[in-house]
Amino acid sequence: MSYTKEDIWVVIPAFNEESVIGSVVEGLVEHYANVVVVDDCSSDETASRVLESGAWCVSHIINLGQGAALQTGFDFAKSKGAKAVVTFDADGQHRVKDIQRLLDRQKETDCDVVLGSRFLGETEGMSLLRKYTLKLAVLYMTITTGAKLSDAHNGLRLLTETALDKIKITQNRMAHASEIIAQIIQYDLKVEEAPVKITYTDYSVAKGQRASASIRILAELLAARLMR
Amino acid sequence: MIFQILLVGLNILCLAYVFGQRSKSPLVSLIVTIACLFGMVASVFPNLTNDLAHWVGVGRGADLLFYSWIVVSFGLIINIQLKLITANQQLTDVVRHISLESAKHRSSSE
Repeated sequence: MSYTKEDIWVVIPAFNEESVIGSVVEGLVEHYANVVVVDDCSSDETASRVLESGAWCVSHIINLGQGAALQTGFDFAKSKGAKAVVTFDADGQHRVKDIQRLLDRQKETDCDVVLGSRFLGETEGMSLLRKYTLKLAVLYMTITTGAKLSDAHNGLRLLTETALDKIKITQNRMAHASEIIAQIIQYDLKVEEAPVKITYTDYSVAKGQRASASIRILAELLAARLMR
Repeated sequence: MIFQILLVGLNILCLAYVFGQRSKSPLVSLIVTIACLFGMVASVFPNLTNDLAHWVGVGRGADLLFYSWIVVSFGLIINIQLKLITANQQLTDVVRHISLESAKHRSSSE
């Protein structure tokens, strides 16, 4: 299926990103009319910067986590008639032009989900520790879900309407990335990968996930399994 | 005798509670149910616990009861954690609803 730019909503979860969110949103609105930032109860001026830059702003009144912010963004986009959603990070790690790569891949394969892969694409400024932590995450994902992916924790994704109708993020914090993959497999959605570039700046590394957070993510996923 | 009645009563209360929770967390409910039934039998027939303790390789009946109580407590803690997760999900739904109702755009405030 071919999507026009009006069919697509870009969803950006954000928490205390006042220093970069303006430029990130301005870069997006030049190409995509429908951009929504979900402000996860930031204590700075993130929401103001978003509104100044021309995107929609949906604000959580308490901090829930990135996973929750993404699902709020999905619900908002669906309410506005989105045919597809692209998730995009607020910290400037992603390139706007890589969204077109996701769209092209979706059009080539008619898949339900396209996941960006830094290991099929390129990275700038990635440490060895982060590289091997991410590789371990991919291994864990393969073992637990059977998904054969090269990059299981990339925030740049495209979800079609079919995927949006099925996927419901319940992991509010960082385990949502694993949950999305698990649900893609569970609902037998057709998934493809596309090469993208991730740029690690001092700012994005400082804001990013610590390696020790992986233990907490594992605990959250195990608790979710017990609930089923 | 009084203590036996008290123990059986407490175990019955515990059973009633987990029976009500069985749909929310079936595995935890099952574990706690088995532990409570064991607790009731042990309270009424205390000598049985010594025989059972020797059979499973534990020194004394009292030790066996203690270990069993640890298992029950662990089950109850897991149950509370699962309830917290459910409450958190409900809170998320409420916060999400409020945020979606108050979405803003530059054009709507101009």
